[in-house]
Amino acid sequence: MDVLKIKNFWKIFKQNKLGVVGLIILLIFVFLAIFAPLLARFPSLTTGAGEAFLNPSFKHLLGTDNLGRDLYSELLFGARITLVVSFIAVITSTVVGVLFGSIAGYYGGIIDSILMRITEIFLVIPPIFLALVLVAIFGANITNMIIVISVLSWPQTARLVRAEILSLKERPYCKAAIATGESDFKIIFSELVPNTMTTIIVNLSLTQATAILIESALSFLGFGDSSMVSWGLMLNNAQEFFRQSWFMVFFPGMSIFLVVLSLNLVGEGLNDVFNPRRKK
Amino acid sequence: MNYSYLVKRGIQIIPVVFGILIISFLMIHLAPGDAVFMFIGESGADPEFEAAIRTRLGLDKSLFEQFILYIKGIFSGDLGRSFVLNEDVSKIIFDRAIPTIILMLSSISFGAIFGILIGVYAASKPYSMRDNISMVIALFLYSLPNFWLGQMLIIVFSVNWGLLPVSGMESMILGDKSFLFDRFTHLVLPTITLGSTLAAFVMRFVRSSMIDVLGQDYILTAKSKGLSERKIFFKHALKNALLPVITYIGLRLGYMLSGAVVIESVFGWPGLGLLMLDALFERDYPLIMGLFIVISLSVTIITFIVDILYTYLDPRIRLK
Amino acid sequence: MRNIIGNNSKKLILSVLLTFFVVFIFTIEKVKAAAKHGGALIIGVPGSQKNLNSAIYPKTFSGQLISINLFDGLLRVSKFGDGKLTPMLAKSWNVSSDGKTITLNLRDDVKWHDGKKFTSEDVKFGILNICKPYHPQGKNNYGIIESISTPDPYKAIIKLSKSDATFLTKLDSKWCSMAPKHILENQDIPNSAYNNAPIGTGPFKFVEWKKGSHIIFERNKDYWAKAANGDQLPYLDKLYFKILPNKTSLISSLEAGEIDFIHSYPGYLAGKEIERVNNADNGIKVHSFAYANMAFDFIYMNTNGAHTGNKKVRQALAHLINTNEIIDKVFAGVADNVRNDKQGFISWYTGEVPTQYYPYNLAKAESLLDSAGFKKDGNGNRFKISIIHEQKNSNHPKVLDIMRSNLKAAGIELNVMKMDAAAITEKVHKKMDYDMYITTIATGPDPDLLTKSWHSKNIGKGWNANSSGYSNKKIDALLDNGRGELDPNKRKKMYIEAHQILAEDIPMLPLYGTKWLWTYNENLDGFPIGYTFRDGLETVNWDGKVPNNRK
Repeated sequence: MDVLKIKNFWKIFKQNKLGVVGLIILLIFVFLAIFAPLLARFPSLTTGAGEAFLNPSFKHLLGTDNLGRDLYSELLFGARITLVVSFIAVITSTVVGVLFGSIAGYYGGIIDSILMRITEIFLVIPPIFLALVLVAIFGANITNMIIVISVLSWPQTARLVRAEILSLKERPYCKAAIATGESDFKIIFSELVPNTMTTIIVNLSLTQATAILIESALSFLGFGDSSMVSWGLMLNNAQEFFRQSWFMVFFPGMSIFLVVLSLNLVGEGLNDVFNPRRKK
Repeated sequence: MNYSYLVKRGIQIIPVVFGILIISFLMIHLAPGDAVFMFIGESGADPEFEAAIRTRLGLDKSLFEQFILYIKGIFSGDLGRSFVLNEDVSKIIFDRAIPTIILMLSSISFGAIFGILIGVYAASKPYSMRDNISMVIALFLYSLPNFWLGQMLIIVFSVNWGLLPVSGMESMILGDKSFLFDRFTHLVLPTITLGSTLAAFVMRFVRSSMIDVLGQDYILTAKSKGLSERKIFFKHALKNALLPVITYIGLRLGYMLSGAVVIESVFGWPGLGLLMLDALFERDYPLIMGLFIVISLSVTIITFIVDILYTYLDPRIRLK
Repeated sequence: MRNIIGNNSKKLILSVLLTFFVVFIFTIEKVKAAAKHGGALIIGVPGSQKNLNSAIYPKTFSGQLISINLFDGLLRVSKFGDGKLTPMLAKSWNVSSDGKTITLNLRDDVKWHDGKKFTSEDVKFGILNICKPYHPQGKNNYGIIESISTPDPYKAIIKLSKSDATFLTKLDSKWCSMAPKHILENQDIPNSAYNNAPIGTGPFKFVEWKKGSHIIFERNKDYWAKAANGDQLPYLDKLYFKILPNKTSLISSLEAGEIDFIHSYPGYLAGKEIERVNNADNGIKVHSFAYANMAFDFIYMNTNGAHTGNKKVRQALAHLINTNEIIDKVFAGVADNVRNDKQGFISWYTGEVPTQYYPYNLAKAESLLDSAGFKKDGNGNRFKISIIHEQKNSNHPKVLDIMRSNLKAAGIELNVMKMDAAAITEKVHKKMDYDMYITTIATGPDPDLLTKSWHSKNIGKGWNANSSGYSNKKIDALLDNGRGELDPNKRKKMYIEAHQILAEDIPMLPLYGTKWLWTYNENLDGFPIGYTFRDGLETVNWDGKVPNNRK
């Protein structure tokens, strides 16, 4: 993409003030996540960093939890897990979704039917039920969490992409390409899919928001990976102690909320850029 | 009525149903570990007892045979027997379904009404202050982790202010409260928590649906004919905008049931969500699979019905 | 002045006054006692209940606390380790001098909840037809019974094939509650509808069980037991068990006055939460007391493991694990440290103080590790090791978090693995493919119960058996002989010796004894302070102060 396009993009994006706010919040969290080891006062999961349930102080910016862990440090490391897990899951699911959706949309007929039926199966099963069963059976480690979240997220993407492809297929340049005998593969991946990029990108942001909510819900219910800090897990731990230490509940919950919100805001902003509405 | 569409959709469901069955069965039986010891528990057991349990549970047959037996059973209404609770799975699910149904109906009503009200309010002056604020509210609501919201509500309303009960579906001893009032107070917080996410999505959907409809030709025609804005808004636009909401809510059913699992856990609501969590902890295979199938099939069927209802109600499709 | 009232009249008045006085006092006592009766109790229980039949199926701790109100055992083991047995349905017993014949004299005033009389036929049926075949430990416990005869309705004679000093304790209600022969006689017991609506002889009767939501019991008007002061038991009219899925709702419900009593509730919530609830201004005040529940958390160490196979490593690990920190942070002090100079695991059985307990000592641990050949590398790391814990236990993750930090100080990286029971049985107990594994074992009142974990014949024999793969002939001999030894002093010596060897080898490291915390509305009285988890609620009462919404 050339510089002009980017400048243009930014100009339009800037107009959506909320989207900008979202972007800033998101970038802050990404920054915190990347530099967590430097910014944190104590290594991850160090019990006994201080006495339990300390109030916020200079040494412990957000206080300590029931085992004496520094909340501020845990929150930073939690950001890493939350962001990384959801990001990888989203990329994976997007790739799978695009494959499914584009092939189904392009070929139509039986292939479309079969692929869409498969997609429908996963759309019909309530996500948490499927996630719980998978995680409870195959274990709750990081890898499985990523796989499970991907499995839950790809159907939406597939459907979106398929719908786009269906309409794009009718466009003149595509029909021309078919007529001149270009290979299907080339048509799909060089012509059609790139034109769905805008939809895919918007969807990425929104899917990641959902992915984070799913991951924290699973961890909250007790099915998360307990050898790593994640915000959902912190909330699960905090359940017993919220009256003694409201910050154990507040900060992880607020962090989840802010990151999800920012992703949704950015998604909205992107949507405005790519699909502008008529404004009166 | 478009019968061929009905039939077509009906046929499409079958592979989905079958797919669900295969997936459930495979998932659980490919898991590591052995179900038998779940049943025996912490005291341990001698090998004879273990073998007897194995036979009683039918675990000594090959996977394929077990699957065929299971399918046969389902078509005759038998979902197997829970080893842990020692009752037929279908009975267990049937007994525990009502709380979840009540919660879902209540939350859907709350979410739909609240969402429609705000969505309409926002659409009445698009892109204005009221519209922007409404949409931001929607955004906030669906970005909120609902279990967090639930707990915050409990702290404020139940513990600090003592206005509403902490958990459960009913009080143990009614005392002088009426039965209905008691049930109502227990329903309030779970409904608000579960319904708020739906409300958020409905809000946005209604708003954009209304705006779409308001831009349609027949509205302009009505305007040019001199009908009052108000009449146009409520009589024509609203009716047409609201129809898709039904389908939309149908689409959100699966997500709402997901939310119900978490909400039931937070509020101790004795429905299918809690049952699922218990079944998972105990590795109660028949119950896990039974629940899975019942819930997935319910969502499939309800979505199908909603779909049909929509095509029936929408004059545009009807007239095709 | 002449006496208006004559001497005889004086006497009359005096005696009348005296009579009134006596009657008055008597009535007050009766009124006070009657005042103790009545009212309902709402108990919060965590988790869903699986069944109410304690005789047949294995159960969670909280499940036992519920169902025990419906049943009685023949006798009760009173205090952990002191060997005292309290009569219940069996009012007395005789053991023959060769230890092979046990005569039980039963009470004649006991009725089942459906009105039929409890007789020796029920005892025979219960032990042979229910407890032995269906309880997972049934064969172990009752395999040595040759026969049970019932010469009269209130006498049962049990003949054993060999003497067993532990046998009487196996008649406690944990192992065998009495179940009605006249109902269960020809039934398919595991599938019987009885399991969902049991009938026993206990202080309360079953009323209703709404699965996932609540269980209701009501007073058994014909209960045979009386309080120490002669009051008819039980005091309460109804018991409601409200099922609450998580700890938060338990405490919130107690605080809001929705429930009156919580049991099995250790953890940080204990100390600070109780304080907080009592300081809140909604008027509900609670008391709590803790008692040891005869269960200990152990760490199994694989004696064939790459690192744990080396005794020095095991001992080093013992020196590294900071039990005090664990008890303080995870249990708010509500747990018994069995690794100090005052109390050891062995003390529970024999009263002896342990000679070897591996106090927290980083330097000692490091030197042991060095001499075992596991020196630190350039980065200060020695090796990686893993520990498995069960999904269901909510305290273990916290304990292991602390352990992780403890071990890290010596350069050992601890990998915490959460697995569910089925997977654990496969990996730890069958294949013995693990490093360390933490678990809770309810050891019971008799030291013999640990034969399962330490006798070489039980290697790889299932859940919490000898999964360390530990094989020591001396231990085997001591445990075998100890079981049959009838002389309590000789027995005690054998177990002391065994424990000393085990403390040296540590195939299993005992960490602490868990305790339960009973938290209840301060107006309640009469909670059984005991060391067993088989105490019913028959002596609990509102002491005349039944709240309006509990009438």
